[in-house]
Amino acid sequence: MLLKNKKGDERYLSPVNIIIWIIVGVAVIIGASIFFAVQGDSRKIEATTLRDKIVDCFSENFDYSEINKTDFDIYAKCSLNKNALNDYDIYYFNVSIKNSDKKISKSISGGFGSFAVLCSYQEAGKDEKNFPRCSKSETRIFDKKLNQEFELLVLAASNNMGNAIKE
Amino acid sequence: MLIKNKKASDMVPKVVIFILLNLMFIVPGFIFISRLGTGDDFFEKKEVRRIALSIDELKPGSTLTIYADELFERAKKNNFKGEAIVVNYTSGYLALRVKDGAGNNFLFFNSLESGSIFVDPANKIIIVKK
Repeated sequence: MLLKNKKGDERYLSPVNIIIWIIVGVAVIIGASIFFAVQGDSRKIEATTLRDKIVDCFSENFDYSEINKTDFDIYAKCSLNKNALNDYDIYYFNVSIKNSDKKISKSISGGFGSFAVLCSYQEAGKDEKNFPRCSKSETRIFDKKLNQEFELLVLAASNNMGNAIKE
Repeated sequence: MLIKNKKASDMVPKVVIFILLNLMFIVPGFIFISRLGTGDDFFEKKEVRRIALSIDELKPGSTLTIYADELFERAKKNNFKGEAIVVNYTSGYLALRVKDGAGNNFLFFNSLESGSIFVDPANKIIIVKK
């Protein structure tokens, strides 16, 4: 109704037109910002890389008796940086080894423990933007020394959005 | 029908103003979006992730050569005299800058020995040994 009694060419410069430009401009800015923010989100890739790295390191010459030792150091075994994984609350991993009875016989965790809960929320379909991205796998591995098969469950999570360290 | 009962001379200024206003609106929009995607800030963010993720995937005994032409070209273009790449091996910290400012940093969780990352600006490459 704002345009009532306006001639065609006068509509071009009406306040409504300016409001439409502003709305379109704001939408473009928001859309572009979201698009480029998503482009820079590598959390899922990181979580998958961490998971694969752990699976590879355990699968290669799997020796349950070595892993079951109290002084077993997963960081040294899998060549992981302990400080990066534990000091910034942006990573988490859990390795569970199930024996032939399907019972967890060994569990090793590192990083920010709350992510385990957030990952389980995601699995249940509850997800939020600031939740970490999680990656999970189940692998069957064989211990030649014990002549026994185990199941390796690995969960890795990352919430590394970059600029974690403020200099 | 829009120009009914209007003389051409009456129409021209308003149409010109309309087109100019449109251009004033559209051109900054294009500049904004193109700078978001190709600007130094987005490049730093993208490149530091690319390098850190490549380091994370590195397996023991392997050597990785990262071609970083654009990184060194941008630093040169911006006349940036500082170190384009700063690494802290203890904390797994990798910082990247192609201009004066805070730059962008990213963590890598692969354990590397001190001095494993060799930056070669002359050949525009980064060599990582594991």
